[in-house]
Amino acid sequence: MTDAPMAVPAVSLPSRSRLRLLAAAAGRMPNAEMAVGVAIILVWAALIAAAPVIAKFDPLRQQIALRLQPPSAVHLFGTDQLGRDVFARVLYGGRESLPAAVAVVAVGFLVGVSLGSVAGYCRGIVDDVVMRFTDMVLGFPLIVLAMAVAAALGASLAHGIVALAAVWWPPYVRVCRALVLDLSNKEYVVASRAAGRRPAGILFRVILPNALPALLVMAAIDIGRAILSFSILGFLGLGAQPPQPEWGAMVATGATVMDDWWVATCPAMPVLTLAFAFNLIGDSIRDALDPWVGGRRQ
Amino acid sequence: MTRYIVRRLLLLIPVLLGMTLISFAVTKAIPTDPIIASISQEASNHPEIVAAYRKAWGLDQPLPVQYFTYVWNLLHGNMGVSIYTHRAVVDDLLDYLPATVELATVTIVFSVVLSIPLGILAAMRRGGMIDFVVRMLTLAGVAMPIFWLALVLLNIFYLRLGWAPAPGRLDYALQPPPTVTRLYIVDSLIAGDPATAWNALSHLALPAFVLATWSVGLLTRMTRASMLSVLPQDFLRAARSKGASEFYVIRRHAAPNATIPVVTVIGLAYGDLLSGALLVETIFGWPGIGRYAFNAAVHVDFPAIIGVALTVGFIYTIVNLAVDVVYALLDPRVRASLTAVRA
Repeated sequence: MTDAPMAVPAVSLPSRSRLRLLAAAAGRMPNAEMAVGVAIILVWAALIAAAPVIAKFDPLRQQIALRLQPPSAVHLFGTDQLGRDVFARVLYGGRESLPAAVAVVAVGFLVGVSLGSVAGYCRGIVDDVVMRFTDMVLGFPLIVLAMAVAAALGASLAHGIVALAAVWWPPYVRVCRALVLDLSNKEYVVASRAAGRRPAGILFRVILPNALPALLVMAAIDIGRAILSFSILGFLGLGAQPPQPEWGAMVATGATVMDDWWVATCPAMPVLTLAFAFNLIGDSIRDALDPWVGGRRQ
Repeated sequence: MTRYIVRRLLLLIPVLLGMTLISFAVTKAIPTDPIIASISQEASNHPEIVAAYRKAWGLDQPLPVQYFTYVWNLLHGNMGVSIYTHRAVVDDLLDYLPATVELATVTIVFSVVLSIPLGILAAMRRGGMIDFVVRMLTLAGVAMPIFWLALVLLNIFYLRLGWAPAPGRLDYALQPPPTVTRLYIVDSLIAGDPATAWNALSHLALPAFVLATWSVGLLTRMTRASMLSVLPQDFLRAARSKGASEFYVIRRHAAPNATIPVVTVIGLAYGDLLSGALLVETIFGWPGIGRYAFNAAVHVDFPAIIGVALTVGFIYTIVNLAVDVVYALLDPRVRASLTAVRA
């Protein structure tokens, strides 16, 4: 009996373990909804990345004679008031909006995690100062602040990113601090402190690596909210400037010709579907992780 | 309980001071010169005009003095003069804030009435068809670029069907009701004029509906999640095992426990609606604080922006305080812990 499993492995263990791996993967397989969310994001990302190949028209080229053409085989999303191809503009717009949204979240993440980990690790007066400051910023209407910053710096794509990043970090401070506070009491942290590790080493090598996965998930889901917020700035004329294609600004262009619905609607669709997809993924992750909501509690 | 409220009110003071400090720092950190933004390019070439302007706005004083002057004025109800409208910011806010408060209040009431039953229903039918539809719709609500939705609905219901009234708070033919609260619906009811109140409400319907896509999405999702965490708990099984009907169990045991955490979110959502109304106000020509803030931002009108930010921030803070108190009143466990602290 004891020999059997030892004898068989050469032949069957690889395939059986592969099966087991597959089963485990299927068990942990994110549900269908997460797959849909990921698929939406991948499709948009692919379309946007391949914009120069897919789009048959220059997003900036005006053909006044062809203004306000409804969607057709040639112009998939129709044309706007200046006869520009809306499909090309939507795809090229993604080349502004997606990197901008990622940049906003990245800056918010870096600032928030730095402040939050220092506050959680140092505690005491540092913690008090950082957290009160964060609370005060959170007390403000963030969209008003972002708008003020964007307008004061002068409306442009880069300043829109700065303005949003300036108000994006507070939630990361709070979550990161809570995680660090929680992890600080773990036995392995106490052990490495007892082993004489320097405080910076404990924070960066022991605590943060354990806090990062949760924070990164939070940041990844947050990209949807950033796309939405960025399009709001663009719609208000405080983001990317014409003739640069940007989704929010394109909806604003279409606002005067709502009877030609495609001009405003087509650029709104990537914002809606992408924000939807990121939220869908977020929900699936939360469902999978929460023992109560997940209903997997024994 | 009283002591808890007093302590929370006292804690407000440093927070509010901090907020004035931050808003002041923001205006100073920004490279744009408000002088260039508010007087013409030609006038800014004349040093004497610029100097007179600086003096008029106290901009020739050192920074700490400017800050203390600002706080001193705030304490006396003086938020400065708007560079763009040339009116006292307080007067501007008194004109614009009530319109937003009216809009946000109707929106939040509508959202709560719709969201809580919807969230409870979805949770009870978890994994079923109703749950799926509710979840997808609310997810779309949170992800909706409401500026687009506002444009579409305005086009359909106002321009094409003519069901919705023209933009604004009232029909042009109607006189605003005598001023008491500056909320048109309330004021016209006080004045015994239900027709005007109805007209004000009809003007509010479409913008409130658009705003509510977001808040209904948020609150329904919160209610559902909260309900799901309550449903598997033992006290519900206990209630069922003593023979209570399913309706009674949900109505008397599950729902109260599930809605307590939602109260917190209602408060936060109300605060966000006050500033988030900005887009809807711009599109529906609603004379509210959001549109005022947008105009102020575009004209780099810092007294006005700070006025809006501080006012909304102040309301937000007060609403959250109120929410915490309500939370404590609703939840016997929190109430007990507060009493324990006092003892």
